[in-house]
Amino acid sequence: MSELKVGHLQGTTLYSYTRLFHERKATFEELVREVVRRGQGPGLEVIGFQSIRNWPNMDATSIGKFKDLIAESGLILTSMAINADLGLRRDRLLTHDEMIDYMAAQINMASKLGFPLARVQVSLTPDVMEALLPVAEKANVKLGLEIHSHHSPRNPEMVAHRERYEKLDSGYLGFVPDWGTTCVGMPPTLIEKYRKTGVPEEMIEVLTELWQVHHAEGAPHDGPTQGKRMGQVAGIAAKYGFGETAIDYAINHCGLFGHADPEEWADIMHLVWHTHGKFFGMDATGNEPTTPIPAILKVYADAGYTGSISSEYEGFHWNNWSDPFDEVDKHQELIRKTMKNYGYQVRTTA
Amino acid sequence: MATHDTVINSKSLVLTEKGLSLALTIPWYRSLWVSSITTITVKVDGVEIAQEAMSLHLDGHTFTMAELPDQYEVLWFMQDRAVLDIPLAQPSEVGKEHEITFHMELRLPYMQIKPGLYLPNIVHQVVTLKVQA
Repeated sequence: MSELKVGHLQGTTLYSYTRLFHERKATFEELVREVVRRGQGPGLEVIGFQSIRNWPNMDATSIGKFKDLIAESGLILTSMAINADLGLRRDRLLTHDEMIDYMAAQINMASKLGFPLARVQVSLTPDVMEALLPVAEKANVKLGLEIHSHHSPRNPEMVAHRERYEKLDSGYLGFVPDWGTTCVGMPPTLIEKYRKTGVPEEMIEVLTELWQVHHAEGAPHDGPTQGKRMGQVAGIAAKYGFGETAIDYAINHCGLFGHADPEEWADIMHLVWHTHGKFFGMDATGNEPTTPIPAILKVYADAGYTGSISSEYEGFHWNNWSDPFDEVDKHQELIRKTMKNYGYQVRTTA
Repeated sequence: MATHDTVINSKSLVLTEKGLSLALTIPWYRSLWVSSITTITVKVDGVEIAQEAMSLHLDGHTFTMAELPDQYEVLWFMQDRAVLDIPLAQPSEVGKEHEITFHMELRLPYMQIKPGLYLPNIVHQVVTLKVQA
């Protein structure tokens, strides 16, 4: 067998273990230590508004504590996930300048903590991204706009971002692909949860059939198409007596399990330094039935990707019976095996 | 989605001088500004509690329901519990069971669907809880 090429950096995001943190079963420090113990790094992604109280306002003591813990852990910070809370006020949106300030404070704190990249979200326009470029350059923090279902690389909004980033050619503006964008079905564990909570079999069948109809049509490229699909799902939920939470079904079905073809990722790989390896749960054979890992990683292998990938477990939203650390273990094993087949050795040490 | 089952748990309902209180975990994966809470309604044994009667305690602050929309500088941290005060006409007692219907809606301030409309997160739970000391 020929020698393996150097592959991407393995990693995880604390998002995977949200349920443990939320329920106060683990502190930030305990989660970090468990990541180390399990060998789920070296890459570590953190969500500012999840892990850090009063984010992005941290005093010197808390910054020092954070940096000491990371240094001791031997982990490599990959991405600070930050949020663009455009609608935090009820009376109006944040103005362009307020939005820049809101994001700059988070980017600067990410820099102080030692993150090389900040994950940002779609509520930022190409104009805001361009306006943030000097902030990013000064802080030496790359900005990765997350492409998350229902968006996809060929969605016109994302194409507009790509064209702007290519034009600016700064090395600081790029994307964070989220693999939930390119799914092949609904997660079996979600169906299992529906059964556990008394959702009628007929409704489950109707919902899964509708998902396949949407899948055959492909990822929506405009708001009205997405709105129409959400309305269809909400209508089904209401019909079967789940009117109170119909919108919730619509968000799950149309917002989490995206319909784009994995090959679309190839359009943006030259602007990708970090990835959300989103997954919803591993099956008994060690495969991930919802996000087609081999097809997605083929694009990464073909692109010669050497950035970082966070295993991002999201089944916790409905799955309260699986251990998220076990899920991440299995996900990373599958990724290492798949990349080896493609001739790459995933980097698992700092 | 989002960990709905964690917003209240078997220890959430507590006896107070004026009635009951309910300890709430934010039903989302990150801290949000209190202004993100759009609706809280509670029924105790099928009787809806008046909005004016309830108040929310969080991190040293106390807010009436009417004050919540203006709180865009106060974060509801992931690991903090917001305590909802629920006055009752008839006093309760420790160990008594009540059927609690809890409905909460959040608007996610970073997910605008169209101008002025935000992706909501809706929690609707009907649970029987035993009053804690």
